[in-house]
Order: sequence, then structure tokens, then C-alpha cells
Amino acid sequence: MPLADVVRQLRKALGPEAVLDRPEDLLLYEYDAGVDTGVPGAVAFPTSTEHVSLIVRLASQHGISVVPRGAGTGLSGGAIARNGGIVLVFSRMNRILAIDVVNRRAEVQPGVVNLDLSEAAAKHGLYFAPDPSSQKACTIGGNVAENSGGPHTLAYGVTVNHVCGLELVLADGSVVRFGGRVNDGPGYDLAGFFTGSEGTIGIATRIVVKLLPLPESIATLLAIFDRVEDGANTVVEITRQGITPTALEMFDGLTLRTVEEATHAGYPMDAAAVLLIELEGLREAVEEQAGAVLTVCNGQRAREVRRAKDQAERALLWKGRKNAFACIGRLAPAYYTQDGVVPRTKIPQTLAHIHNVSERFGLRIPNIFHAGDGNMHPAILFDPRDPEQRRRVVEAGADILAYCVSVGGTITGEHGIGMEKINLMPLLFSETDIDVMKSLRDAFNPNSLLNPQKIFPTTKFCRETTGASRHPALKDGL
Amino acid sequence: MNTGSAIISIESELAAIVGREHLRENASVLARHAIDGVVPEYVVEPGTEEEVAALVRLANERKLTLYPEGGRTGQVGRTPPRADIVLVTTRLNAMEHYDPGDLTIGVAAGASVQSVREAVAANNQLLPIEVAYPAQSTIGGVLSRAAHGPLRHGYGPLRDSCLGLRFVTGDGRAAKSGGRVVKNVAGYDLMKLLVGSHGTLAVITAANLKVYPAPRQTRTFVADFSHLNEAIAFRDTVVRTPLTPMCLEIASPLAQEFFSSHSDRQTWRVMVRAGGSDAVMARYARELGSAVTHVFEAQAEEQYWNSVVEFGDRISSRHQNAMVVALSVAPSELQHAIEVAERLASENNLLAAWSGRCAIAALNLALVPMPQGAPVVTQYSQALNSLRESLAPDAACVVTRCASQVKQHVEVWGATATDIGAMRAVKRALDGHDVLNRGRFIL
Repeated sequence: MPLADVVRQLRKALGPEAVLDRPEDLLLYEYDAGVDTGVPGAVAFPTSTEHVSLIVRLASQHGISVVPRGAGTGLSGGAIARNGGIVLVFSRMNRILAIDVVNRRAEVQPGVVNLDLSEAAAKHGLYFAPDPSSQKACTIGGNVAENSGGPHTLAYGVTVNHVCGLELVLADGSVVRFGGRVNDGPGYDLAGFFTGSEGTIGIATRIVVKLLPLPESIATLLAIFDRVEDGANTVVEITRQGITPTALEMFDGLTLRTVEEATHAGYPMDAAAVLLIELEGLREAVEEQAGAVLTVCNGQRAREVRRAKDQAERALLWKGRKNAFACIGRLAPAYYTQDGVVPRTKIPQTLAHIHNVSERFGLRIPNIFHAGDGNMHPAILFDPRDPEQRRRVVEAGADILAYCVSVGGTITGEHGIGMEKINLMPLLFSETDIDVMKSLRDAFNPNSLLNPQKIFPTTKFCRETTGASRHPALKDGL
Repeated sequence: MNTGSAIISIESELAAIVGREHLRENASVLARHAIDGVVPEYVVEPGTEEEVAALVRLANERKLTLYPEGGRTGQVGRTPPRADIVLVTTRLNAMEHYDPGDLTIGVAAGASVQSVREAVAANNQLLPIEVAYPAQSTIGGVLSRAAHGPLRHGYGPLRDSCLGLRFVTGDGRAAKSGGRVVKNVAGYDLMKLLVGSHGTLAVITAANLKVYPAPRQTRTFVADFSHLNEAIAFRDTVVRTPLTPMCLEIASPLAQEFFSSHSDRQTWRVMVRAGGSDAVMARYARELGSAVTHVFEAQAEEQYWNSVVEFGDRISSRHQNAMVVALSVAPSELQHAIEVAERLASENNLLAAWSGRCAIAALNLALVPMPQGAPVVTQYSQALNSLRESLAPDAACVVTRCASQVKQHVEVWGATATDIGAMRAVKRALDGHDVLNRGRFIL
């Protein structure tokens, strides 16, 4: 039995504690924060690039798949083993190798927790900009694999904008470098290409990222609206007027009340929508932009615009945002979060469409999302014990994403395709588009042993029948 | 097979794809499209993406090489042994969509930088692409070489502004990647692969780009220093302030002679360009303090920055044989790199002129002949090779211009921090027969 052989060899090399294969231990690694599951055949905890290389080489020799995993906070099933094999967990490769203050770079192992890097850099006046809501737990390796976002990526860009170099293990176990501290090396930008390839091109073992200077001044505003449309139109108008917030988040009334009950962040219980708006930078510029935001909000019938007086108030407002999805969990036994993106001018009509879907499918859908870049996160509430509801949830989700695509948007802004959305890819991409991507995967991962059955659709191409009815979540029991 | 009939047949097949009037065979036209003096057999000007795809497929079937061309303003690469077809993209110039409220624009690859700039300027928006010949340079060309100018300091590299691309791969597949929205992680990000790939993987046919609100006013604060180390120290001071300038540039004494005709400057100059309100400008003045020697505004400011963008072209129009090198190092190593290059230049009968982004440490270095005697070919190559040896292994040092006789003796691309085997794997995946830009790239 090849896997048992490989496990034995890995125990010898990595140490007996560093490889798990008892069923009860494996169950801990069948989940991420999304809806899909898959039990691995073994779990390995490397501590070095050499370990990763050995695992990949042995697995490849025996035709066993390898799935890299950070903290398992992903929402699209990127870290889930679809056909057994070895899950490679980076929790023991969590060292910050260097912080280069002058050049504003950090070199880290992939298991470093996102927020830990920002905290380590803070004493030098620097931080790592991508800030997914899971940043207290999620790892930089996972951020790189999924090209993660977060509220402040509106101004600073998603993870790829902050990655400049990688050391990685390729499918045959060889170790190579893509890029380094310096941006403009001649040749293809393979570090950029790798970021967001969801573990299907190779496995990163060292990551060089950019660090940004902490801003001098931050203004955090909370604009309260009695009508959802007014909040949505405010987002459109802020962008149109050339105001450049660093974060622009929207909550609808249902989310608002739920979050407030759980976190006491100070959100109004009776509003239809609020916008959480953050401005950062030079004091003078921030004050002017804050004034401009106030004018826009008032022009769109905001009931009130509050401003955080100090860091404690700011932290409280953000606590509500960062914990929002945990709070939504109190509303129903389960929820299914979408990650569609629309052009910002289309937010009002997209919210109206989501409302329509909610009524049509008889499902409650709270909305909390990155309004500034049009990244919608409708959370469809359901009871997983009811198979009829499960079916409707998947259909409702696909309906919303199809709408996002129809107005010029996309099916994922920051969560990744993973396994969750593979069969929605044809909504966006032609068979040739996918074929081109596949030829790149095959160039690096010819037998698809690195994170198999991710990103690429498994169904035949046919726009009319893709989506809901073939969604993998259905088959896998959501 | 008779070679003569094969040639006739290729010609008629090309004409069948693009139309007789868009197939150029006239010797003087062909000569105008020469690549480092290598005259192509055919020049074609496709008008649609389907025509581009058909041309690339024909090149694959007939085992021909194909060289994509935009406005011919910035081609970089080794001299190809021969060139069969030059594919000119300038007829693909449609404005596909522009959504001012979304700060995004979509254009065909042959659209000129100027046309896009004007479209967005009408809405007080800014396309942070700077080139010496905006009316000629195309969006596709600028993306292919990942060109950048002073605004890169504040607006980031082009790769971060490219939201989506349509393209025809070297093996003839018409495809797309990305989309129109500012945030999108669906599928592989081929924009990252194609931006900066110098046309070796695919012919870009259309691009979606981010645009930005234009600042209401700008001002440029200039500080002149007698010595390089003072200029670098000033850069370090500026970087440590909370200021967020649009541009942060350095120019060497000799470089400034190329910015204005009556310059006899002996100073290293650091330029800080700010955008914003009067209050923001006042803050810049306060933070930068007494180091500031001039302030440029309005038309004088525009002219000054244009001359900075035109640096390479101004050099080559005065010194045909000048070598221009794009140099990127870690910011902490910039002073050392400049000092080494200055010394190597003078040891080889050359003068060095510098202009570029000093905080990012991405500069253009021009090596020009000393007035008292032209250097020989090997002195250019000696200066270049010694400079490369003295730089850190992850530094970039790419020759973007030089005389063709010098090019025979130098390696254009220099070292790269990215695994060459992996790059070759990408090339094979998209252009297996090495049809696109054969013989020009680092691979």
C-alpha cells in the first residue's frame, strides 16, 4: 500500500509526531471555513523546505496527491483533500525570517500568521497590508495561494500586489526561486502568476513580501442610512467624486442588528444600512477627504455620520466588522457566503437583485461586504438538515453569481475558486480560456497531484446547464 | 516542395487573412519595420482579433516567426537571427468601454496611450502610464514591456493596474484572463505573466485597466545637492516622513543637461511631486524644509516631467551610440550601485547619466561617450559586465537601448532572480513552437 509506505518513510525523516494517519486525527483536517469537506489519507507537518521537497517527491513517485494547508480558514475548499493523499500543514514553518526595515521587505515561512507579521513590523512603523477578516488565524502562505483580500485592499491591493519573491517546491520536489526583494527582474513575473494559483503550480516555502509604512492619520466614519439604496448610492458617489477611502464596508439592517447584539460595537439597531468608511494618510488629506465623505453622505440622506474619536472606538467599529460572519452564525444553523464582484456603479441594482433572490427562494440573506471595490458577500442562511433548503441555497448562490457576471463582474473577488466554484468557471471563461490555464497547470503539475480537482471545472462546457444543478456542494452534501 | 511556390502561397494566405491592403511587402515599408536592422519578410496589420489568431496559427503551420509590434517606440531584446512576419497592432484601437464611475477602462491593444489619456482626462481621471511618444506608443506595447515612469512611485507598477487581458497565445488560442472589476481571483492570473513578457507568450489584443482620480493640483518640490550621498540622505528623509508623493525621482548632474538645453548643473537633484489641496502643499513645504531649492508648478511642471519621461529618447537623439540600462536594486543599495557605475563608466571612457525612481530604486542609466573621444565597442560591454558583477544577485540590469554593433557583444537581459527552467516551461505551454519574438528574450 503506497500511502502507508510513504507515511513510514516520512515518519523516519520528519519524526514520528510529524505525520498523522489515524482516522480520528485526520478528521480535524477535513474542513476549512467553507462548506466542503474531504478526509485526507495522511497529514504531515514539515519544518523545512527540505521536508516539503521530500514529501512532494515521495508522493509524486507513488502517485499520491499533496494538498498544502495553512490555517484552514479559506472559504472555497482550497485546502481540502478531494481524493485523499497527504495534507501538508505549515503550522511548524511559522518563522519570520527577516524584516528589512530600510527596503520595506519581510521574508517569512508560509505558516506565519498574517497579523503576527504586521505586529512584528509595527515596531518599525511598518505593516503587511492584506487584512482578511481571518487575519488573526490565517497564514501568509494561504494568503498567497488564494490571493486573499480584506477591507483595506480597496486602497492597497490584494495579496499579489505585496508579493515580490518566493521559494517554492515544484511537483517533482525540486526547489526553485521566483523573484526576490527587487521587483523588476527580467523574465516572466512568475511570483505574480503563482499568487492565487491555489496550490496547483507548486508549494511556496519562503515568501518575500512588501511592507507599508503605517499611516500618520486614520479617520474611521460610520454613516447610518434609513434606506439601503441610499447607502449603496453613497458608495457609487464616493468613487465617482474621486474620494479614495482605504476601506469602504457596507452592512445591511439584518447584519447590523445581529452584529450589534453580539459585539456591542455601537451600531444603530434600527437602521437599514451603515457604511464603515476609513481614510488614511497625511493628516491634511485625511481631514479634507473626511469632509468630502460627510458631504456625500448627507447628500444621500444619511441619518447620521459618526466619527471614531480614538483608537478604542475605531477598534470597536472594526471588531463588529471582523466578527460579522461569526455573528451571522447566530441567525441560522448554517450560512453559505458568496464572493461575487460587480462594478461599483452596479451595487444598488445588485443589492436589489439579491433581495429578489431572497424572496424568490424563500431564504434570508444578510449582506456585509467590501462595497468600495464592489465585492459582495451575501450570506445565505439555511438549515443543512433540510435537503430541500440545501438545494435552494446552492441555486440561490449560483443565481446571485450569474447576476454579478451578467453586469460585468466576477464570481470570486478574494476567496478563490477552490473546489466550491469550479463548475461556475464557465460563467466567466470560455473553453479555450480554461484550456490555456490548463496548459499552464500541466506545465508545472502534469499529473495534477498538487491540489487536484481545484480551479478547473469537472463538467462539460455548456453555459445553460452549468452552475446550480451541477454544483459540487450538492453532490458532497454541502 | 518548391520553395518559390511556398513563398507565394504564404503571401496569398496572409493577404487572405488581413486583406491585400494590410499586407505590406514594399521594401521601404519593410525596412521601416526592421528589428535591430533585421528586415522582416512581411508586415501585416490585422484589424480584428480573429485575424490576429489566424495569423498566429498560420505562422505555426508554416513554421514562421512572428514579431508583434505596437508603435515601435520601446522595443527591447536581443537581435533576432531573422524575422518572417511583423504583426502591427495599431488597427486594433477601439475604446471598448469606459466607466468613469467605476474607475476602469477597456481598450484594444493598439490604442495609443494618448487616446486613452485624453478620454480619461475629460473626466478628471488619470492613466498613470508615461511614455516619450504618447501618440505612437500603444497600450499593448507598454504592457508588454511593463514600462514605467515617475508616477510608478505613487501609483504602483503597471501589473497592479491591469485588471484583464484578451490575447492570442503563441500557439494560436484566442483567450482571456481576469475581467473588468478591480478585484478578481477567478482562475489563473495571466495578466501577471503577459505584462513584461515582451510579446513572447501571446499577442495582447485588448486590456482592462484601472484609472485613478486626477489630483486637483500638483506641485513639484526640487532639492539640489552637491554630492550623491546628500541626495540619498534626503531621499531617506522624505521616505520616513508621512508624505505620500506621486513621484520621488533622482537625476544626476549630467542627466539634467538632457532635461533642458541651458543646464550646466553640477548637482544631484531629488524631485518630489505632490498632489492635493493647498493645505497638503503647505505640509509638503514644511516637511521638506530648507532643502527645497525650486518649486515647479503648472506648465513648467508639466514640461519638466515630460523631459524626465523623455530621458532615454533625448539621450539617443544626441548620442546615437549611447547605451541605456534599466537598473533596479534594493533601495539601500542604490548609492553603492551609482558610485560603482560612475567609476566603471569613467574607466571605460564613458560618462554616466542617471534618472529615475529613487525610493523604489528603479533607474535609467545612460552611458554616453566622453566629449574627448568615442569609446570602442568593448568599453560599453566592459562597463556593463563589471557593473553586473558588482550588483547583488537579485538586481536587474537590462539594456534597453544600444548601438546594434554593441548589442553583438553584450547580453541584453542580464541575470534574473527567477528560475529559467520554470520560465521555459511557461513559454512551452503557450508558444510551443517558439513563434513569438524568437531569439529576442532572456530564455
